[in-house]
Amino acid sequence: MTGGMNCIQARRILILHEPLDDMEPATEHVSGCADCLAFFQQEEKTARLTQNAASRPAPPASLRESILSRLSHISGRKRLIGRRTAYALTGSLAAAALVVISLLLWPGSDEHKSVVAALTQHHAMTVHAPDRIQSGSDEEVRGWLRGRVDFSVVVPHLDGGRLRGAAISVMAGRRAAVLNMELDGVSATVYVLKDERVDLSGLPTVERKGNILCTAGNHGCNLVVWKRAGLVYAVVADLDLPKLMAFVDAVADQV
Amino acid sequence: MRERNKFSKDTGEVRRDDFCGEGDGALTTGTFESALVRHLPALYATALRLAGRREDAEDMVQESAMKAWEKRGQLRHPAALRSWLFTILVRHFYDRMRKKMREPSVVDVELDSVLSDRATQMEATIFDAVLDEEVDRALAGLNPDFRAVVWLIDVEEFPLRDAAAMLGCSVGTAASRLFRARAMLREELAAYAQHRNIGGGESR
Repeated sequence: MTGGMNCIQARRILILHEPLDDMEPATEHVSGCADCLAFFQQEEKTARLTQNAASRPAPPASLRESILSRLSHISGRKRLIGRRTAYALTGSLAAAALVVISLLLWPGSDEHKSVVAALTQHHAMTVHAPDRIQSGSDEEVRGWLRGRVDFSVVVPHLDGGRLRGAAISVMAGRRAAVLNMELDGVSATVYVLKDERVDLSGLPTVERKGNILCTAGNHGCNLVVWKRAGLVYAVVADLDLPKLMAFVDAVADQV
Repeated sequence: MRERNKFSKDTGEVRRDDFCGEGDGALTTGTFESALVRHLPALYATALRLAGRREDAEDMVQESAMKAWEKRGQLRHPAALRSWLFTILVRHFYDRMRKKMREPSVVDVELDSVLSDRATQMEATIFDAVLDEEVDRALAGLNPDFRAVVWLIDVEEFPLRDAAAMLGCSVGTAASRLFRARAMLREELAAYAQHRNIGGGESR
């Protein structure tokens, strides 16, 4: 008996942290009791051994992908119900833009290849459509994109514009980051993907602030595509080309 | 003197990116997903340790993630996100175990009876000589109730109270299981060591 209590009482109090008033005498007991010191040292060593030696296999990549896909599906569908109008607009714009970009970016100009590419990629986009986030926070969108694409995505700040969200899509056979933005009340989409066998030859080009930009239009959509630092950027919007260029300038200055 | 501070350390730390901080405590899709991805290795390791089979562990983590997303509105304290995810995982494990009736629960004993044990002399020889795979084997040989409490407290470093809440038992019961489980591990490891002629395991 040390410190006015026996070993079991002292150990119980220190382990359960109650009653708090007895913590001090319990500590006093253990400090002066060889058996209790040995007891706690042995427990400590056992815990440390387990922590250091137990194996911790990493989760398979497929598990992470599967969970994120299911979550995106669930969360995307729920948000769709609440914000049907916004999504309908964004979705139709994105789908149209995707087909346009797919047709333009796919290497080679054989029509059948372009059609196949467009159809398969549109299908891929449909499959991946729920993988999106709706947020106006740059930080949140960057965090969401990190891990979904293997390159860094800059979320541009636009005067008079705002970020609405992001999505993942598949273009020209690779994953692309898709930023949904709004400028002066008009929706615009910024696509970012790796520059691997992306062929922009044949598109009309303009020089803008020292950058060579490729332009194209289809079904009322205009788009501007350019390459920088191993990435391909495309901006698509239902804007005439001069207005779209102003939007592009703001984006290109920041990426 | 006290044991390594498992009993007061708060590991349910707040991280800015766990929580959007928008006032109502709600987790957005992005913040929920990024938090889940960050904790996924630990959740998977725990699920694998509890379930034993990779397929079961993957199912458990997936189903727990979906449950967590559905119940995210119930998370009142974003600081407790990690603990909350583990709680869902552990309870999901127990639900599965009950359905499969695979393992009987342990018969709990009073904490005081566990605390009367005296330290053995094994540590000097065993703790430095034990093989990692022997620890894995000894853990795998424990009843799931013991395995769970050791894993949550000694490996994942949850406070005793959090682990008790996850396991659905009192703090005293969780402590009793923890100290019994550690004693079983020591006995098993001592047996392995004796088998390899390292010696140990005698009472002082």
